[in-house]
Amino acid sequence: MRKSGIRNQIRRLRFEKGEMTQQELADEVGCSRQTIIVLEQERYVPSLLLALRIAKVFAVSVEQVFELAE
Amino acid sequence: MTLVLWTVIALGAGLVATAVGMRGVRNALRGPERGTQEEKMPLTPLQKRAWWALGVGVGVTGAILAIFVVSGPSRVQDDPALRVSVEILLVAGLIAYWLLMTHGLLRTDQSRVMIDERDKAILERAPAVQAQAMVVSVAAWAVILTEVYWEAGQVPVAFLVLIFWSCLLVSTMALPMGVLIGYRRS
Repeated sequence: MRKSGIRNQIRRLRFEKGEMTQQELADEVGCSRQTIIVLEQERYVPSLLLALRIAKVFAVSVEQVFELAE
Repeated sequence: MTLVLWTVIALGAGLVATAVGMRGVRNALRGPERGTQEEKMPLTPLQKRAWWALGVGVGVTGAILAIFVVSGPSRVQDDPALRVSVEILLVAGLIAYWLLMTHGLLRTDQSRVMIDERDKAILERAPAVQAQAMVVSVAAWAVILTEVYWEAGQVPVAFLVLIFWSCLLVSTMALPMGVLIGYRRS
């Protein structure tokens, strides 16, 4: 599996937000569940717009969701 | 018979080009590797349509080849009914392909997203596979026709239509193949 070079906390944040499902998150940010899955697997780098939307759903900053993999 | 042979060879060459990514598609069909915790990935609407479009392309190509092989190329040329049958197959295939690969995908009045930024990125990259397949198909025609008709100094006009048809068919199969490869790689 090819990693994107960006780590994220989406799975953890989803569970902290009342065990939000991937589909619920996808519906809120306007993408497909498949995209949430590949994001959580760190196989896809989202656009800035999608990253901002995801951060907004969890009410955190983008840096708290995404970080560069060392 | 020569006409059929070269048609088959040219189509085959195009298919080989599209099949460059077959390994990726095959791996995609296999699903997650054993021992990983990778969850089962559902197919996206675009992915489902790409599979259907690939099926339509293969089906139409098979049907047209069957007509050529069973009837013979000269009969297809001379018999208007057979020629129209081939043309109807082609047009029907292209319409089905268009409906599958474009129609409704960009609609926004649905409860769930049909195509998102990742799908769009994959769709934008897929024509690279299509272009390569077309180049290989045309190159195969050029090399074969040059070798066969070098002495004669001219190529039968019938080949112009065959080249066009084969390019259309290769094109309709290569784009969905490019989409499927894109999902595998991204």
